[in-house]
Amino acid sequence: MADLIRLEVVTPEKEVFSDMVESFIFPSVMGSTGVLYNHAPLLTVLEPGVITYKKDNEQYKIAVSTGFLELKNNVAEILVSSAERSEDIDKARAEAAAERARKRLQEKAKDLDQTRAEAALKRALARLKAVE
Amino acid sequence: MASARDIKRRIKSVKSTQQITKAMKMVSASKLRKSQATVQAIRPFAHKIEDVILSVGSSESSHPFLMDRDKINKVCYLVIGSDRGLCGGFNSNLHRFLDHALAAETHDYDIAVIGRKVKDHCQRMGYPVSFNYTCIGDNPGFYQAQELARIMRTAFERGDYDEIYIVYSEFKSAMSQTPRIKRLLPVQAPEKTAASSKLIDTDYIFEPDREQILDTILPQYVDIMVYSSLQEAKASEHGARMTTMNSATDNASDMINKLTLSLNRARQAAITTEISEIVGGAAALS
Repeated sequence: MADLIRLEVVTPEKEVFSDMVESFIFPSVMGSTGVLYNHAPLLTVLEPGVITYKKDNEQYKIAVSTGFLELKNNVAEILVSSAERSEDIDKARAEAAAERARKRLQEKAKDLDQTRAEAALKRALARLKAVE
Repeated sequence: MASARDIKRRIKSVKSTQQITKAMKMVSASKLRKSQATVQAIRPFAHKIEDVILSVGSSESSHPFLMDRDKINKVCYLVIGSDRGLCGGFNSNLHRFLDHALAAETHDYDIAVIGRKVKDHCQRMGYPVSFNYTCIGDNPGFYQAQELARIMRTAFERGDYDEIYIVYSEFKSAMSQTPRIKRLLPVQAPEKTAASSKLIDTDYIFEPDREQILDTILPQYVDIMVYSSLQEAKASEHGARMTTMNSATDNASDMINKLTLSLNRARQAAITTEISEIVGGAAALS
């Protein structure tokens, strides 16, 4: 297949992923969005979740946190605070993090930063979803 | 003149100091390499964010992070220095720069401090330190920068401060680091370049809309600015320490040479005295 999109996932610390893919699905704030070859230029905001991309008829996953996506001329650049490829995720650690975040939300401590705890839970869930 | 034994002892102590400075130099060199790599890794990310802020149309937006406030009651200086000394003029240059900046400041101010050395300096000078964070480590992670940036953002949003500046050392090379100041909040719209204006011309679909995109991107931009300043300051610190330790090692070598010379002289003098004593004794006998 000749029609490929260049997908780049970058965090401030390093480039997590950069390769040619056939298509990919990413978690936008408007819901899950799929991108195929020759998509119109797009600038949008990402939610913590999982990016699924297809290459050589195989599916791969990358867990990401908040960030944004810029797509132009079949080059998609995704800039996020953190990103992990599914094979790099430590499942036990992600589970522990999810559990911790859930507990913190339930306890409703006085000094709890609601949005922050929710974001932590979302991130952990995204990581878990990527390894499944 | 010192006895040969004293000089020998002295040489031994200088040698062991030299070993330490040499080791510190080596350690700093490897840390510097790591820091430099991180500093370079941030750049493309930072540029991209700047481009996107421009293309979203930051000039027309009235996002609170972009607007200059009409009345400035209080400003905050976030000063990034080091926890440890032994890095030559690194900290004192930064302190002098800070003193100058504060002397020129007409508004009420607070100081947020990273690094023990800066904290000590501020306490000595009696500056109002609102917040300090020491032991940031040699290679601060992005999450640390995020945490810091979050504290700064909330203070700005709450209205504690109307302007926030970062003071840090810009990394030019291992030999030279210059203290710099830049405004963190409100965000100064990045300058247009040829590459970014091409980007602006692209007819993007904005989802959900420009304001919401700015809402996500601007805090991230602040995170990145804090992160890159942190990393630059760290690279500067390692660079300064490496250079200082290098010259300390050289100085120790010079000192050892001088001491060896005087050791030889002392030994020679002792032998000469001994011979003249023997000769004198023999002459007395005959």
